Amino acid sequence: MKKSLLFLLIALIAPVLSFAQAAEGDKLIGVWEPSHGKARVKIEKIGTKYYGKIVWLKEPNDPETKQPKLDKNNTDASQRTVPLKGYRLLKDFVYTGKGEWTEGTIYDPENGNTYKCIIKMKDDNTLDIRGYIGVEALGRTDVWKRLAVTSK
Amino acid sequence: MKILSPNKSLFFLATALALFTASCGTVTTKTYTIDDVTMVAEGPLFDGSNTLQATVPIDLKNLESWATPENVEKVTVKSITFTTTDSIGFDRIRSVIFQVAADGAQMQQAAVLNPVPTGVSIITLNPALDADLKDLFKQSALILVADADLNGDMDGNLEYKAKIEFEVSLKD
Repeated sequence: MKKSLLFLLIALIAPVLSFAQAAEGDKLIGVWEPSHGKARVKIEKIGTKYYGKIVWLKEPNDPETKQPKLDKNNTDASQRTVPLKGYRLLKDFVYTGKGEWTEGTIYDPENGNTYKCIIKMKDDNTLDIRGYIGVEALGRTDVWKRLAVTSK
Repeated sequence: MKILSPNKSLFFLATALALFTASCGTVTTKTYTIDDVTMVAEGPLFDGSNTLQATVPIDLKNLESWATPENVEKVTVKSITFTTTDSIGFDRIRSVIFQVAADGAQMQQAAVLNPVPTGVSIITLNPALDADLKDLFKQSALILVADADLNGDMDGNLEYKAKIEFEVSLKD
């Protein structure tokens, strides 16, 4: 009897906890600005994971071509016409609890390299974005700020 | 040193060859087509990148009756076309980036078209030549993601029909 009650309790609580975990993970959704201030990245959820794409560039045009900037450093030459505005540079982040999203990657358009990445939320409006090669200790952290939503 | 008899040597050679051949397996390449998929971005939509999505199940049995996720050796994008019945066609779209994702595998950028030509109702994207979607094809479903760069705001939905052909190499 006691065991049945315990199972029933677990069965009732588990979906609630799972929903709460998902809601906590969704705190990442929004528009964020890296510390250099040259771009803004919109993070959204696709399936169960989180992805971020560039939605604004301080200098949208290439100074040489005067045309919108392209992903000219992509290692796949067939994809060098991809515009940087709209580019998904954060991919496949999974919320693992305690304000941390892991298993993702970050792409650096400056050199065409993709790094493993961990996102930690310091507070509701601040992220630590750590890109690294191999082990987490060998990396660099950048602080991103959430862009405030202003009503017109 | 003991020298094997010619018969024994031949036996060992044949066994080694048989084991080697079995480990290599035969690779079969087939085309997996996802046709007539409706991809939608729900309005209102704003100037800039907007995401159209669709989820499609993967059934490897459509390729070979014996095919399982373990048999998938390599997957590349062969062709991607989008069509629209909207009277303005693709005139309000500056570029399209196409990606494939799944809950259990990493997203892959699969194709791009930049710029999108005006006055057409069908567009063909340029596939990513280096992309291998093998891990995605080991999942039960694919999430198709198209980022369309919209010129100006729009009240309604953005809706395209997609046809995608993948080249799938299966090892038996």
